[in-house]
Amino acid sequence: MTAEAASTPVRRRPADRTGSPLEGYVDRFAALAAATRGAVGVTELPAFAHLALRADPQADVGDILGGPLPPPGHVIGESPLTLGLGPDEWLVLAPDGTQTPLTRALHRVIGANGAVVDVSGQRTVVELSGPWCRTVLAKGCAIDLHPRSFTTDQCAQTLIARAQVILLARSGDPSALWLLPRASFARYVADWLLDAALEYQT
Amino acid sequence: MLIECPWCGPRDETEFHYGGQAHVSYPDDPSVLTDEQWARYLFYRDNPQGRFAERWCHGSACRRWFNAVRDTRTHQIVATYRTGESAPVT
Repeated sequence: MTAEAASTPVRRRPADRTGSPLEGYVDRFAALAAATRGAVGVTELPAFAHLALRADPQADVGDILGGPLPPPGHVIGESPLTLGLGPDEWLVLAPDGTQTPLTRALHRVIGANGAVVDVSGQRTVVELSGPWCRTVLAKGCAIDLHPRSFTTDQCAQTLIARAQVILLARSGDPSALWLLPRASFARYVADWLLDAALEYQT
Repeated sequence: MLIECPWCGPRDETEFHYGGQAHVSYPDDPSVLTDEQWARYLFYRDNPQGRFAERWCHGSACRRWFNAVRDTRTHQIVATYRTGESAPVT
């Protein structure tokens, strides 16, 4: 290796890895929805900015996030959407492009006693819909996903088929769930979901 | 087996990691300890038959350490509580 080559950083960025983690799965997700006649729908929602927030739980963020910071396992807001991940840890989902003003606004409120970090590349959002989507997920998930137990505006961090994810039940469609796998696990989770949903194809 | 995380509620055992005996306090002044006293702090732990206060970490979810009282004969988790709190049962 020449000295010139050694000093030049090599950027490995294959053409198929430039977009969202599951952009190559659009056709397979569409085929699944068609084959199950809508019983299991899987869609990637890539257009979100993700912000990791560490702060005092009493921080006055109501004007920015639409309410006080939620306790672990609870969700507030719509856009931005705030998930309680731990006693002093939250994940904020906001429309892509709004992260800079949102980060500045949060920084002003929490001051030096916390942190706001743009983690948009960390996870992707997968929407599961259809009457059988919770049954499919339950094959690889130990928590109780019955709508009576895991309901609107709740979230949970757990394992799906041994991969760490954040699960989120939104208001609106009561059976639908959002699944936030790590970007590097997204294709594994998608493959697992497609396989787990095979039996609901007609 | 389900373990009740003080932050997340009951979760499957596979989400947790074991962290050894709880309430082992760091010596006030380690520099005055003899080698034997330091070794006892580092390596010697209780091994009771019965209820044992232990540290566990909910690594797959909230990533918080907490304490649990487990019966070493039955593996039943009798109680879980947050770090900094004292054991609710003995």
